[in-house]
Amino acid sequence: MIRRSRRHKRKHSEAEVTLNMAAMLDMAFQLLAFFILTFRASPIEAQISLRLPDSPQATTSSSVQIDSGPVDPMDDLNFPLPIDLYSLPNGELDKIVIGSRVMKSDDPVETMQMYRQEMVSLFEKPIFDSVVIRVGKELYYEPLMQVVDLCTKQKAKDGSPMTKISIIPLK
Amino acid sequence: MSMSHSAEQCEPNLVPILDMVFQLITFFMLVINFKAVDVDKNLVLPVVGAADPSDQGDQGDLLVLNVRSDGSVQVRGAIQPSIDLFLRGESRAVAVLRDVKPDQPLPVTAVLRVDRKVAFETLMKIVDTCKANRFSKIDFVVVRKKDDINP
Repeated sequence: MIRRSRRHKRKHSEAEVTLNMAAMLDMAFQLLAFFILTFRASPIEAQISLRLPDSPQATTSSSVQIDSGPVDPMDDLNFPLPIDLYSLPNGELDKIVIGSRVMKSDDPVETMQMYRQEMVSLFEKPIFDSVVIRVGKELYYEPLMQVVDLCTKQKAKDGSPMTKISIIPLK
Repeated sequence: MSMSHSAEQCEPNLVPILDMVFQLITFFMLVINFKAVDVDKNLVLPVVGAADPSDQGDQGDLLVLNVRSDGSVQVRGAIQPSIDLFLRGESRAVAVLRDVKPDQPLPVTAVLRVDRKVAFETLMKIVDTCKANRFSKIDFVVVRKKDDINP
Protein backbone atom coordinates (compact mmCIF):
# COMPACT_ATOMS: atom_id res chain seq x y z
CA MET A 1 0.00 0.00 0.00
CA ILE A 2 2.83 2.28 0.94
CA ARG A 3 4.74 1.27 -2.18
CA ARG A 4 1.72 2.03 -4.40
CA SER A 5 1.29 5.50 -2.92
CA ARG A 6 4.97 6.27 -3.47
CA ARG A 7 4.73 5.23 -7.11
CA HIS A 8 1.67 7.34 -7.54
CA LYS A 9 3.40 10.27 -5.91
CA ARG A 10 6.35 9.98 -8.33
CA LYS A 11 4.00 9.79 -11.31
CA HIS A 12 2.19 12.85 -10.15
CA SER A 13 5.36 14.85 -9.75
CA GLU A 14 6.52 13.78 -13.29
CA ALA A 15 3.24 14.96 -14.78
CA GLU A 16 3.76 18.37 -13.24
CA VAL A 17 7.06 19.05 -15.01
CA THR A 18 5.83 17.95 -18.45
CA LEU A 19 6.14 20.79 -20.93
CA ASN A 20 3.14 21.97 -22.87
CA MET A 21 4.15 21.31 -26.46
CA ALA A 22 1.02 22.77 -27.99
CA ALA A 23 2.16 26.38 -27.76
CA MET A 24 5.57 25.56 -29.15
CA LEU A 25 4.03 23.56 -31.96
CA ASP A 26 1.72 26.43 -32.73
CA MET A 27 4.63 28.83 -33.05
CA ALA A 28 6.61 26.33 -35.11
CA PHE A 29 3.72 25.89 -37.52
CA GLN A 30 3.44 29.64 -37.92
CA LEU A 31 7.12 29.87 -38.77
CA LEU A 32 6.74 26.98 -41.17
CA ALA A 33 3.77 28.62 -42.85
CA PHE A 34 5.78 31.84 -43.28
CA PHE A 35 8.70 30.07 -44.88
CA ILE A 36 6.48 28.00 -47.17
CA LEU A 37 4.56 31.06 -48.34
CA THR A 38 7.68 33.16 -48.95
CA PHE A 39 9.64 30.35 -50.58
CA ARG A 40 10.29 30.85 -54.25
CA ALA A 41 12.49 28.36 -56.02
CA SER A 42 14.96 30.31 -58.12
CA PRO A 43 16.40 28.93 -61.37
CA ILE A 44 19.94 27.65 -61.36
CA GLU A 45 22.06 30.66 -62.20
CA ALA A 46 25.55 30.56 -63.62
CA GLN A 47 28.16 33.16 -64.36
CA ILE A 48 30.33 33.78 -67.37
CA SER A 49 33.38 35.84 -66.49
CA LEU A 50 34.82 37.86 -69.33
CA ARG A 51 37.66 40.31 -69.57
CA LEU A 52 36.87 42.58 -72.46
CA PRO A 53 39.71 44.16 -74.46
CA ASP A 54 40.78 47.66 -73.41
CA SER A 55 40.86 49.00 -76.92
CA PRO A 56 38.69 47.14 -79.39
CA GLN A 57 40.50 46.21 -82.55
CA ALA A 58 38.63 45.40 -85.70
CA THR A 59 39.74 42.20 -87.29
CA THR A 60 39.05 41.78 -90.95
CA SER A 61 37.46 38.52 -91.81
CA SER A 62 39.03 38.62 -95.26
CA SER A 63 42.25 37.28 -93.80
CA VAL A 64 40.55 34.12 -92.61
CA GLN A 65 39.16 31.55 -94.96
CA ILE A 66 37.38 28.64 -93.40
CA ASP A 67 35.75 26.04 -95.56
CA SER A 68 32.95 23.79 -94.52
CA GLY A 69 35.02 20.75 -95.39
CA PRO A 70 37.48 18.95 -93.15
CA VAL A 71 39.98 21.16 -91.40
CA ASP A 72 43.46 21.04 -92.86
CA PRO A 73 46.51 21.02 -90.61
CA MET A 74 47.09 24.72 -89.93
CA ASP A 75 49.27 24.54 -86.85
CA ASP A 76 51.19 27.69 -87.65
CA LEU A 77 48.14 29.89 -87.72
CA ASN A 78 48.20 32.63 -85.12
CA PHE A 79 45.07 34.65 -85.61
CA PRO A 80 41.74 34.73 -83.84
CA LEU A 81 38.65 32.98 -85.07
CA PRO A 82 36.24 35.69 -86.23
CA ILE A 83 32.56 35.10 -85.57
CA ASP A 84 30.09 37.65 -86.92
CA LEU A 85 26.60 37.84 -85.46
CA TYR A 86 24.04 39.68 -87.57
CA SER A 87 20.73 40.75 -86.12
CA LEU A 88 17.31 41.41 -87.52
CA PRO A 89 15.80 44.87 -86.85
CA ASN A 90 13.75 43.36 -84.00
CA GLY A 91 16.91 42.14 -82.25
CA GLU A 92 16.58 38.44 -83.09
CA LEU A 93 19.51 36.55 -84.53
CA ASP A 94 19.63 36.75 -88.32
CA LYS A 95 22.75 34.84 -89.25
CA ILE A 96 26.14 33.78 -87.98
CA VAL A 97 29.18 34.08 -90.21
CA ILE A 98 32.43 32.30 -89.49
CA GLY A 99 34.94 33.21 -92.19
CA SER A 100 33.19 32.33 -95.45
CA ARG A 101 30.72 29.97 -93.81
CA VAL A 102 27.25 31.43 -93.36
CA MET A 103 24.76 29.88 -90.94
CA LYS A 104 21.30 31.23 -91.54
CA SER A 105 17.82 29.89 -91.04
CA ASP A 106 14.34 31.27 -90.52
CA ASP A 107 14.41 29.79 -87.06
CA PRO A 108 17.09 31.30 -84.76
CA VAL A 109 17.17 28.03 -82.82
CA GLU A 110 18.15 26.19 -85.99
CA THR A 111 20.78 28.83 -86.76
CA MET A 112 22.27 28.24 -83.33
CA GLN A 113 22.24 24.51 -83.94
CA MET A 114 24.14 25.00 -87.20
CA TYR A 115 26.62 27.21 -85.38
CA ARG A 116 27.11 24.57 -82.75
CA GLN A 117 27.85 21.89 -85.34
CA GLU A 118 30.26 24.22 -87.11
CA MET A 119 32.13 24.93 -83.88
CA VAL A 120 32.37 21.23 -83.08
CA SER A 121 33.94 20.53 -86.48
CA LEU A 122 36.20 23.61 -86.30
CA PHE A 123 37.58 22.77 -82.89
CA GLU A 124 37.96 19.08 -83.55
CA LYS A 125 41.61 19.94 -83.80
CA PRO A 126 42.26 23.16 -81.85
CA ILE A 127 44.08 25.67 -84.08
CA PHE A 128 42.88 28.98 -82.66
CA ASP A 129 44.15 30.80 -79.60
CA SER A 130 41.41 33.37 -79.41
CA VAL A 131 38.00 34.30 -80.74
CA VAL A 132 36.74 37.68 -81.89
CA ILE A 133 32.97 38.01 -81.87
CA ARG A 134 31.60 40.93 -83.85
CA VAL A 135 28.05 41.68 -82.91
CA GLY A 136 25.28 43.65 -84.58
CA LYS A 137 24.21 46.61 -82.45
CA GLU A 138 20.60 45.53 -82.15
CA LEU A 139 21.21 41.89 -81.33
CA TYR A 140 19.62 40.59 -78.16
CA TYR A 141 21.79 39.59 -75.25
CA GLU A 142 20.60 35.97 -75.21
CA PRO A 143 21.96 34.76 -78.58
CA LEU A 144 25.20 36.57 -77.85
CA MET A 145 25.65 34.73 -74.58
CA GLN A 146 24.78 31.42 -76.21
CA VAL A 147 27.53 32.01 -78.76
CA VAL A 148 29.98 33.09 -76.06
CA ASP A 149 29.09 30.11 -73.90
CA LEU A 150 29.84 27.70 -76.73
CA CYS A 151 33.17 29.44 -77.36
CA THR A 152 34.17 29.00 -73.72
CA LYS A 153 33.63 25.26 -74.05
CA GLN A 154 36.24 24.97 -76.82
CA LYS A 155 39.93 24.29 -76.40
CA ALA A 156 42.69 26.66 -77.44
CA LYS A 157 45.72 25.56 -79.41
CA ASP A 158 47.66 24.64 -76.28
CA GLY A 159 44.82 22.50 -74.99
CA SER A 160 43.68 24.95 -72.33
CA PRO A 161 40.09 26.17 -72.26
CA MET A 162 39.32 29.02 -74.63
CA THR A 163 39.44 32.16 -72.51
CA LYS A 164 40.53 34.86 -74.93
CA ILE A 165 37.25 36.05 -76.32
CA SER A 166 36.85 39.59 -77.59
CA ILE A 167 33.44 41.09 -78.21
CA ILE A 168 33.29 44.13 -80.46
CA PRO A 169 30.53 45.86 -82.40
CA LEU A 170 30.00 44.82 -85.98
CA LYS A 171 30.64 47.63 -88.43
CA MET B 1 -8.30 10.94 -9.68
CA SER B 2 -9.01 8.21 -12.18
CA MET B 3 -10.39 10.77 -14.64
CA SER B 4 -7.20 12.75 -14.68
CA HIS B 5 -5.24 9.54 -15.12
CA SER B 6 -7.23 8.61 -18.25
CA ALA B 7 -6.83 12.14 -19.66
CA GLU B 8 -3.10 11.86 -19.20
CA GLN B 9 -3.09 8.65 -21.21
CA CYS B 10 -5.00 10.14 -24.14
CA GLU B 11 -2.65 13.05 -24.62
CA PRO B 12 -0.97 12.76 -28.03
CA ASN B 13 2.81 12.73 -28.20
CA LEU B 14 3.71 16.02 -29.89
CA VAL B 15 7.45 15.54 -29.82
CA PRO B 16 7.81 13.77 -33.22
CA ILE B 17 5.63 16.29 -35.02
CA LEU B 18 7.53 19.15 -33.40
CA ASP B 19 10.75 17.52 -34.46
CA MET B 20 9.55 17.24 -38.04
CA VAL B 21 8.31 20.83 -38.10
CA PHE B 22 11.63 22.11 -36.83
CA GLN B 23 13.43 20.15 -39.52
CA LEU B 24 11.21 21.75 -42.14
CA ILE B 25 11.85 25.19 -40.68
CA THR B 26 15.58 24.53 -40.75
CA PHE B 27 15.33 23.55 -44.42
CA PHE B 28 13.44 26.70 -45.40
CA MET B 29 15.76 28.90 -43.38
CA LEU B 30 18.75 27.43 -45.16
CA VAL B 31 17.32 27.87 -48.65
CA ILE B 32 15.96 31.35 -48.09
CA ASN B 33 17.69 33.93 -50.26
CA PHE B 34 18.81 36.96 -48.30
CA LYS B 35 20.13 38.68 -51.44
CA ALA B 36 16.64 39.34 -52.71
CA VAL B 37 17.18 43.09 -52.57
CA ASP B 38 20.07 42.89 -55.01
CA VAL B 39 18.24 40.68 -57.46
CA ASP B 40 15.49 41.87 -59.76
CA LYS B 41 13.19 38.87 -60.06
CA ASN B 42 11.37 40.34 -63.04
CA LEU B 43 14.34 39.90 -65.32
CA VAL B 44 14.27 37.10 -67.85
CA LEU B 45 17.84 35.90 -67.96
CA PRO B 46 19.25 34.18 -71.05
CA VAL B 47 19.38 30.41 -71.02
CA VAL B 48 22.68 28.92 -72.11
CA GLY B 49 24.10 25.44 -72.34
CA ALA B 50 26.25 24.72 -69.34
CA ALA B 51 28.04 27.75 -67.98
CA ASP B 52 30.00 27.43 -64.78
CA PRO B 53 27.84 27.57 -61.70
CA SER B 54 28.06 30.70 -59.59
CA ASP B 55 31.18 30.47 -57.50
CA GLN B 56 31.56 33.56 -55.42
CA GLY B 57 34.50 32.30 -53.41
CA ASP B 58 37.34 34.50 -54.64
CA GLN B 59 35.47 37.33 -56.33
CA GLY B 60 35.71 39.77 -53.47
CA ASP B 61 32.77 42.10 -53.09
CA LEU B 62 29.98 41.98 -55.62
CA LEU B 63 28.07 44.84 -57.16
CA VAL B 64 24.94 43.46 -58.78
CA LEU B 65 23.57 45.51 -61.68
CA ASN B 66 20.17 44.47 -62.99
CA VAL B 67 19.68 45.64 -66.58
CA ARG B 68 16.07 45.62 -67.67
CA SER B 69 14.84 45.13 -71.22
CA ASP B 70 14.18 48.88 -71.57
CA GLY B 71 17.82 49.61 -70.70
CA SER B 72 17.21 50.93 -67.20
CA VAL B 73 19.55 49.72 -64.48
CA GLN B 74 18.39 48.66 -61.05
CA VAL B 75 20.88 48.50 -58.21
CA ARG B 76 20.00 47.51 -54.63
CA GLY B 77 16.31 47.67 -55.36
CA ALA B 78 16.30 51.16 -56.88
CA ILE B 79 16.38 52.28 -60.50
CA GLN B 80 19.43 54.42 -61.11
CA PRO B 81 18.71 57.50 -63.27
CA SER B 82 22.36 57.71 -64.26
CA ILE B 83 24.46 54.59 -64.06
CA ASP B 84 27.61 56.58 -64.75
CA LEU B 85 27.00 58.84 -61.78
CA PHE B 86 26.18 55.90 -59.55
CA LEU B 87 29.27 53.91 -60.54
CA ARG B 88 31.47 56.96 -60.12
CA GLY B 89 30.25 57.35 -56.55
CA GLU B 90 30.68 53.65 -55.84
CA SER B 91 34.15 53.68 -57.33
CA ARG B 92 35.26 56.58 -55.17
CA ALA B 93 33.77 55.03 -52.05
CA VAL B 94 35.43 51.66 -52.64
CA ALA B 95 38.77 53.30 -53.47
CA VAL B 96 38.72 55.27 -50.22
CA LEU B 97 37.49 52.41 -48.05
CA ARG B 98 39.90 49.84 -49.49
CA ASP B 99 42.78 52.25 -50.02
CA VAL B 100 43.07 51.41 -53.72
CA LYS B 101 45.54 53.41 -55.78
CA PRO B 102 44.23 55.32 -58.81
CA ASP B 103 45.99 53.04 -61.30
CA GLN B 104 44.76 49.81 -59.72
CA PRO B 105 41.48 48.05 -60.50
CA LEU B 106 38.89 47.91 -57.76
CA PRO B 107 38.57 44.67 -55.80
CA VAL B 108 34.90 44.50 -56.68
CA THR B 109 33.24 42.32 -59.30
CA ALA B 110 30.42 43.92 -61.25
CA VAL B 111 27.82 41.22 -61.72
CA LEU B 112 25.61 42.02 -64.68
CA ARG B 113 22.16 40.45 -64.59
CA VAL B 114 20.91 41.40 -68.00
CA ASP B 115 17.49 40.73 -69.44
CA ARG B 116 17.62 38.48 -72.49
CA LYS B 117 16.12 41.20 -74.69
CA VAL B 118 18.63 43.92 -73.97
CA ALA B 119 20.30 45.13 -77.16
CA PHE B 120 24.03 44.64 -77.54
CA GLU B 121 24.59 48.38 -77.91
CA THR B 122 22.95 49.07 -74.54
CA LEU B 123 24.96 46.31 -72.91
CA MET B 124 28.24 47.63 -74.27
CA LYS B 125 27.49 51.12 -72.99
CA ILE B 126 27.02 49.73 -69.49
CA VAL B 127 30.16 47.61 -69.76
CA ASP B 128 32.13 50.63 -70.96
CA THR B 129 30.78 52.67 -68.06
CA CYS B 130 31.89 49.94 -65.65
CA LYS B 131 35.35 49.89 -67.17
CA ALA B 132 35.61 53.67 -67.15
CA ASN B 133 34.90 53.59 -63.42
CA ARG B 134 37.58 50.95 -62.77
CA PHE B 135 35.26 47.98 -62.39
CA SER B 136 37.41 45.69 -64.51
CA LYS B 137 36.03 42.39 -63.26
CA ILE B 138 32.73 41.80 -64.94
CA ASP B 139 30.55 38.71 -64.66
CA PHE B 140 27.49 37.97 -66.74
CA VAL B 141 24.74 35.99 -65.09
CA VAL B 142 22.83 33.46 -67.14
CA VAL B 143 20.41 30.68 -66.38
CA ARG B 144 22.03 27.34 -66.53
CA LYS B 145 20.52 24.50 -68.45
CA LYS B 146 21.76 20.97 -67.99
CA ASP B 147 21.20 19.80 -71.53
CA ASP B 148 22.54 21.67 -74.51
CA ILE B 149 21.51 25.00 -76.01
CA ASN B 150 18.86 23.47 -78.19
CA PRO B 151 17.30 20.31 -76.88
